[in-house]
Amino acid sequence: MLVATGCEGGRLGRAARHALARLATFVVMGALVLVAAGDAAGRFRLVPAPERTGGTAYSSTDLVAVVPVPAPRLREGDVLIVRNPREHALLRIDKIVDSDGPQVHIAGDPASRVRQLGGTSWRVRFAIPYAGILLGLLAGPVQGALFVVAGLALVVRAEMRRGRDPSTEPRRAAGAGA
Amino acid sequence: MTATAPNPRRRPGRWSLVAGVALIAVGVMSFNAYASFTASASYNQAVGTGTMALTLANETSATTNYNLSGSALAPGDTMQRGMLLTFGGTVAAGDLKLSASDSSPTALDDGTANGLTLTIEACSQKWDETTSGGIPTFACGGSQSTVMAATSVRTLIQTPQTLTTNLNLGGANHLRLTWALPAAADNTFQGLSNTIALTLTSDQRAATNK
Repeated sequence: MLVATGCEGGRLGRAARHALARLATFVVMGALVLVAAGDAAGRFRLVPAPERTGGTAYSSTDLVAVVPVPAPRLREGDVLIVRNPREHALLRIDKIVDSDGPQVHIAGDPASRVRQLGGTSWRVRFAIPYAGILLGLLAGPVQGALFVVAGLALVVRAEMRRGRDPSTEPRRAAGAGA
Repeated sequence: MTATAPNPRRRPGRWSLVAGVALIAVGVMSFNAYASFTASASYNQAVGTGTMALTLANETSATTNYNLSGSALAPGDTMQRGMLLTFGGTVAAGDLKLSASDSSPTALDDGTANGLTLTIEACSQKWDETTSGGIPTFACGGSQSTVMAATSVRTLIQTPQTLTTNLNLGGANHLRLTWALPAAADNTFQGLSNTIALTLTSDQRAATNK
């Protein structure tokens, strides 16, 4: 009895672990897909913090989540990310010099330097410490292409294996008969 | 047989599918993490306004002041005064306006006929001063021209004159001011005393694109 009970409990525990593992996998995958979809749709972006973060509370090792904000809605204290051929930095708005434009003064800039922001700015919402190091290694067009190609190859391979598996035949046949 | 029967709930390639989707998701994020953020269009627009300055001084090397008082004038007398008028600053002048005022006018400048007149002439170089008994006269060793023909002080009081001819509106001007009491002045001009204030103003040059 004791052994039998133990065996029964072991099977139940294994099943529970498998169920939990599946659940965790789905949750993680769902979150990953949601993040990637939101990222691709331009609702937000996850980026490694740039080297220059002076004047902000963030570190260059952070991973920052940024959201698009129309420039006229920016406020003093907002932290923006800028990456263009001339500059790659996190910038904190020190002062709105003129709300029309808007023209702002950035913390750390010379007092006489005024920047005009136009279009859409990317404002930092939150940061994950140290995660920027990992994403910094993964980020890039070549890396992105490699990941996507490898992912597509794995998906195709999985589909081919499912197609060859006899256990899926009856279901497909039933589906065909229906 | 039972032990080796395939588990109908098990889907071959499931983990490959999961890993593939995960890699695609990471790939998308990897692309976007490298994207450009053109949030900041930065430029500095330096703007500086110019300056204008009008400076009155004694003519170069002159030993007498340009506002030296004249006394005991008789009809036909003249008073010559040398003045160095300089248009300074970074914005050129467009003209020179000359006006006069007198808080206690007399026949000299109240509109009585044969009142005091003023003539302004320019010299291309400094005027050569000659003094006799402390009274200066000036001669031009270069090219002499008229800035303002003889004009009564009364006219200057009533209507400021706008002068542009023969003036260097962007630099130094060697001027000779000649005050004259016309020879036709009669006895009503005896014993008069006036202090005439001359005011020189200048407007900027015509506006342009910068």
